[in-house]
Amino acid sequence: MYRNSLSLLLLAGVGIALLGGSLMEARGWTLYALAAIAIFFSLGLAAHFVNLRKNPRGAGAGKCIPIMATAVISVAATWGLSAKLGLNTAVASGLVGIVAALVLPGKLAVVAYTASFAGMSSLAVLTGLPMVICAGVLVGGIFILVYPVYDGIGGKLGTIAAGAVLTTLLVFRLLGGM
Amino acid sequence: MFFIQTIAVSLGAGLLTWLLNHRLQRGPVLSSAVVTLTAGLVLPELFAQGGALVPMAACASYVSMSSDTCLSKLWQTALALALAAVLYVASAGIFAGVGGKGGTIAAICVMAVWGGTQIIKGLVQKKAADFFARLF
Repeated sequence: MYRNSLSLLLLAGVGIALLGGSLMEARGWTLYALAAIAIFFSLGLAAHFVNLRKNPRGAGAGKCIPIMATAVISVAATWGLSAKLGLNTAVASGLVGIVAALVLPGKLAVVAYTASFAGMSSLAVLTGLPMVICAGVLVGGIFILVYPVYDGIGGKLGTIAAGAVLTTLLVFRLLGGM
Repeated sequence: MFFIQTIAVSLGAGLLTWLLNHRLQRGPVLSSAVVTLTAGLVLPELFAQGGALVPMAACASYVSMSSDTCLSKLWQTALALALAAVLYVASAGIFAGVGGKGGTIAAICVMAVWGGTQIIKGLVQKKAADFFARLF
């Protein structure tokens, strides 16, 4: 249950950061719309938490090494296609996702597609290969950690990717500061 | 005008993904990837601001990756897609360049629609239970 709670906190945190930032800049009708979205999002999180407590999920994501390897390769492939070869980020992610869905077994295809979202980051965010590899490792790690949470909710994979990229930025900022 | 285009792209891409995923049973990853790839190739050619609409199409496809246990009715998916369009426009300056932002927007909107549905279901069931309890 603690793992489920921590996982829910991680995923919810990314969403709350996005909503909070958007609310601070919103004006007029968008402010009211965002406030309504924020309220219902909070209610949804609460309902999901109650569901997790009633039916704690412990299903494993699978073996770590294939997941990590798939994540790193997919991030690097997507980033390489978009940042280095100049393909549109959506085209790069779509290509990696299609190849993964056709070639890899179910769970690994999901991991690959998740990692491709992290690879959609711009050159200003993921500036080089070390950051790309770090983001890939984090995508794999977070995927394994939060596997039972947000089950069936579209956008879960992107939230994992965004969390991994933001954590990568934080790690490299701290290392740069040191 | 841009907002109307954004909503149209959101609904179009989202409902196409829903069709591929739930009706043609192609699976969420393949359905979303096909729609995202197609949007990336086609939208910049169709619209002057097509390039700016591609991430919206991708975000909409992520909404429709939701399972039936989460968004069981088509109108719930359509509502989540409309909310995603609003949040996409409103969050233009947040998390700029961060991969996964579209998915985060999708998850927020899907969770909001699911949460709202749960609350309304709970209230309706409670009112019905109270009503029958008073009757008998």
